[in-house]
Amino acid sequence: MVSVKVRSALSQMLKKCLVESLDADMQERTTQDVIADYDLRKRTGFPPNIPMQGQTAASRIVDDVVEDGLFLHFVERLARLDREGFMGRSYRIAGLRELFKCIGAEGYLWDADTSHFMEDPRIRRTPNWGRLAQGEELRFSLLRVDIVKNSRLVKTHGETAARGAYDDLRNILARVVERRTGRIWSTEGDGALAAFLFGHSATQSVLAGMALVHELFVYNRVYNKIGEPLRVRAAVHTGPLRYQSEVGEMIKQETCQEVLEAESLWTPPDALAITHAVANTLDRVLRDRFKSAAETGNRALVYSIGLGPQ
Amino acid sequence: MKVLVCAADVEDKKLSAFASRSLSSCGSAELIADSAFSRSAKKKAQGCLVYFDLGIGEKRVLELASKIEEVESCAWGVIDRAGESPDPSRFFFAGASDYVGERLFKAGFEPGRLETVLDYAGFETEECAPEETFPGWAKLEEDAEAPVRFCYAAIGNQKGLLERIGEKRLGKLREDFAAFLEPWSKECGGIVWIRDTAGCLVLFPPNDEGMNPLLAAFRLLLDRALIGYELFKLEVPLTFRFAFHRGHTMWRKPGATGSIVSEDVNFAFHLGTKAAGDGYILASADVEESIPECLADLFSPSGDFEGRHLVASRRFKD
Repeated sequence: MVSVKVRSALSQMLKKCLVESLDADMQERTTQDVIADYDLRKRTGFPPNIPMQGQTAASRIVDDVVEDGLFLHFVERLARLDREGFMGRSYRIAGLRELFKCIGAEGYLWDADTSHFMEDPRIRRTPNWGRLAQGEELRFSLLRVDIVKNSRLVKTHGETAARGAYDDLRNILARVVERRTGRIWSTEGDGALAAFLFGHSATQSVLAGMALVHELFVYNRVYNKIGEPLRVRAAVHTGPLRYQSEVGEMIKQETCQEVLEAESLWTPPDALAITHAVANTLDRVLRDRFKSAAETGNRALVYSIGLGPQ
Repeated sequence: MKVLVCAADVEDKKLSAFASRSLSSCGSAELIADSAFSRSAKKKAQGCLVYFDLGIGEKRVLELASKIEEVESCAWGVIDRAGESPDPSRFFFAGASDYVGERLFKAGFEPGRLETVLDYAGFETEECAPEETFPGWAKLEEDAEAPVRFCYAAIGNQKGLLERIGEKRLGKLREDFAAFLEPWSKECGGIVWIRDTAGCLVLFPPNDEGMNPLLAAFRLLLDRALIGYELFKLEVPLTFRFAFHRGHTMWRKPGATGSIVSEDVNFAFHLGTKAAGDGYILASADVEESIPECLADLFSPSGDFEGRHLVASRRFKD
């Protein structure tokens, strides 16, 4: 589980919100959306025939969600309840605005596109955006990057020179990915995997991929010291993924496998390929930058820099 | 006389400032990436004085110097701005003609020093007229003639945009683009000078002060889709047009330029509004020496306009 540090004042504030907004039954029902099969009476030892006060319920629930590292998830659920209501009935959560403000002061930003909190990138950048729990399943967009003919580069230019170029590539990748609230999950050997979750994640990952192609174009002309272009293949795919802190565990999942396949099988050098799952979510102005490529068996669309005559 | 400064980072601001202040008094001074220099060192070094920035490593300096040792009318020196070399005489033993240490780098060359180096290196030099260093826009004398590089920058395909996003949004886009050009031009030591309905005339110092403006323009063309979508929030394609020219103008601050009569200003406007096209850079031949080495292969002659030779870059395909 993630360890979101929750100060006592914040816990107290959440308890107050619950007490002032929901009765014990509704508090329990809302908690069940975050902790499956949550049984308030079992946890408190309250007999079923004695009505439970809202204050007792709130106290127990908040302690439990904090202990399970689900404080942010619970507040997100409350925000949804406040916004959408439940079973046709509307619920106003008192003090929600103040609670958001205090969570913001703890270094978290509210992402309106996904209705999730994420860590403020100005304060810290962690692979799980400071909030994902082990096994949490969400829709991610993945950007896979692979250096073309990596072994030959090392052989021709030596390990030190090649490593220098790879460091440059990693820096470029970090810049284009983190600028778009993505996270680099792995940079092993000749490849890298970056993930996007917030905002319109598929669009963000495509923009990062395009920016990478552009940056490398300039890098190869202006800054490259190894004497030959550093070429990459980049691919983007989107789909559901169960988050694991071990990237090796996630790689086995289908969405990761698809992006690896798109990069290795369908992407030409110096280009970005996107799967149809990604293309279908893009605004047309971006989608039109990608061409169908026969060599991909129409399984991906490809973007590359084209220079014509004047 | 051309001076090349071979460095790891051609956008190194301190090195660029040193080159324009101290190494351009007998012609031009240009930064070149050591990787680009290495590719055709002999050709590039022909007739040049080459300074190697020690930031690329002593071993690399000596390796590149050995590549040009047989080139006729060529000499080389070393810039050791951090004073890292324990024994600078090693460079002279290897054939160097100059060594610029930490203090000299900071202070800059005194008038006549570059001529002394050229003389020592065996170049036949005429008396070099010391080129005035660029004092900065705030210090330029009002109404005095100043050498500058002009750049007319505009949103491309404005007719098409008018149809697709309407007059109001196009007007807002022009405003946003002009505001965007302010920090963009500043990165290259430039200033947005005059605006017309379609674009802006930006001035850059006669020599690079920071990033090379043609490289900066090239990067904007490359990133046009990202800029249009992410920055200007457009749902239609965006492109730019750039026209560069080198010349002179009477200096007035932005907003006070109404009565300026200048052949070069007129030409720059005409070049940008009548000759330039979308998705590429057009430049008068006077700017050719400002084209960075790393982009030189993308430019080729492009006919004449109002009696001047032009060069143009290749066009980015949409």
